Amino acid sequence: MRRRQRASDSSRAGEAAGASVVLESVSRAYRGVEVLHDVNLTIEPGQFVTLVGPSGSGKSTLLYLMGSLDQATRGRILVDGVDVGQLRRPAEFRRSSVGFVFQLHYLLPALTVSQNVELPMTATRISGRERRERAHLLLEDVGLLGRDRSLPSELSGGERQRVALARALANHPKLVLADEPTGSLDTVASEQVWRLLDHLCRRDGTTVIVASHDHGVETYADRVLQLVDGRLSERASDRAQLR
Amino acid sequence: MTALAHSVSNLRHRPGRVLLTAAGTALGIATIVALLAVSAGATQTAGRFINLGRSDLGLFQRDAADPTTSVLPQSMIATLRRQSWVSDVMGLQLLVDEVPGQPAAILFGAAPNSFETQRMVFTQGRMVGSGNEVALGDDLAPELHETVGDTVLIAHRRMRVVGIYHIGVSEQDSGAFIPLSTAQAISGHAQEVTSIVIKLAPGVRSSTAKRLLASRFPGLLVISDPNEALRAGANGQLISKMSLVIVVLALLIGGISVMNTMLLSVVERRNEFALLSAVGFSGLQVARLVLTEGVIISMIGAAVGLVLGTVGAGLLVGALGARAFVSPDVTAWVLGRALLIGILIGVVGGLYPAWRAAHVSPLRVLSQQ
Repeated sequence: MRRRQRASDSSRAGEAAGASVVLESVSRAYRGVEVLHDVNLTIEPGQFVTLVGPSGSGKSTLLYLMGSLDQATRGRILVDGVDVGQLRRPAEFRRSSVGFVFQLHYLLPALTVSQNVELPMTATRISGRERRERAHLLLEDVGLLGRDRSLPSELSGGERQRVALARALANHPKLVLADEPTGSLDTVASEQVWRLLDHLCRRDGTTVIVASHDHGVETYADRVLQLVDGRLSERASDRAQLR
Repeated sequence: MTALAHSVSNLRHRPGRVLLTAAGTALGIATIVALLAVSAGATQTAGRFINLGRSDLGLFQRDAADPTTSVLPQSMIATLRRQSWVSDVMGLQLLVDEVPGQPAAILFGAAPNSFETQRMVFTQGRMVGSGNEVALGDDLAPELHETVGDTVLIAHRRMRVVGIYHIGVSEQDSGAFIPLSTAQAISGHAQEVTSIVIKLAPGVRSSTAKRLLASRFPGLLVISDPNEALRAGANGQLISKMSLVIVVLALLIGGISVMNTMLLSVVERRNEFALLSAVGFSGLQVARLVLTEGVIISMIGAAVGLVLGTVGAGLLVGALGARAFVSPDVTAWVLGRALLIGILIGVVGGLYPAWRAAHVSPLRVLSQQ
């Protein structure tokens, strides 16, 4: 147990700094229809940012652009100084720098909870032993240590999303992008997920950008950004007002 | 969890589909094993024909359907005997389907004093002399319930059993010897033989003799190695070519079967491949995952196919009524080739689905949530 704790401390030590995110005049159009208009944004490392706005306003598109799942039509996006639009190996960038949480958990039904958490690590050169140790710690973090051998089908919706959160943090990403992570959960489960996301990412210094309709998340946010018809604006967050 | 463990977990999640696809591959592999084993057995049998009496060379008519339908002039024997590089020579007339109720028994027509007959050990009686006399192999005699002094009906002739012998070659011990002239009369080929076997003079190399024979007797097939023996007959070549056709068919059908299953799986698992891409799997890593699954399925099929084929080879020979004539030869080489084909089926069948899986767009799939 002590050895595991040491491994935990050492693995967390190097991940203290999150990524800075800079968007310069970013636009995205699909078949001639522009869904993002000239977005400019700077996010400091370690910030917890919430992206709110009605459905179809471009929240998911913005997240996918920052996570290199999509390409901007115009402008450029820098994540920790790396121009995401110019990446030759975007999968490698996602593997090392980004953790995704989606509305649906997308856990693989054939794999156990622990194996699902290990999944992003299997694409790396991390040894099997370290993968298992990391998965163990992450499941401990999200309060599911006793369920490591369960299949996703044996978990509740909230538990599945907590596993998805652990999976997103598996490779110690500098940036976590969460797209409506509580969209399928009840209020209690949603609150658990927000609290965990806030706690784990602040502890590790990870930058978090969350797109959500759930106003509950704004309590945890350093900044609240609003997207309406593809145009970005910012309003004061509860946390900022409290300060 | 390794990538291999991931593939195995995925397959265990869909056992029914995996087993059905593997069953298709297994049938293909079983057919290949059975045919290759029978083909190898036939090669050995034909090889034993040319090695009758420990001869060095076997001569057959080129392009004969099989060794028993070859026709050579008997006068060649005298010509060959005069050659300095020949130590001894004899003619053989092979007859099949002439012993009632024993379709696999071969009748050997040979001169009683030839070098071949000198190897025969008689447990009862003696070697044939002339006319309607027959010596039965010690495997055939009990099958016919005949012994020395009995009369047996062979090729619609009543022939007297004069001896029971043992040589140690299964085709001969389960067959019978009759005088060469009688065999020629039965076949309707007087002054002709099926094959001629040659013992070379000491110090003469078979390659040299083959060259001399080829220039002196065009149209002759000269065999010195049992592995070449299948060339002695078009039927042997047919088995050989059929094996090749079955291999190609198994590759195609098995490959398409695996491809179909894997494609279905890729379509069903679009979310999974999109997620893998999102968490950092490269296209190559995703493709390798799918390809591994395809190979595992076909390996399961191949393993079952190897067992089925080994059992099936014996059944096939029995169904063809050639149990005494051909013993299926399931060698490590036969099994190795079949296993290799099994792996190829997985690779061929998995390539396109792997390519499709590697090109699943995470954006398109995950944004549809």
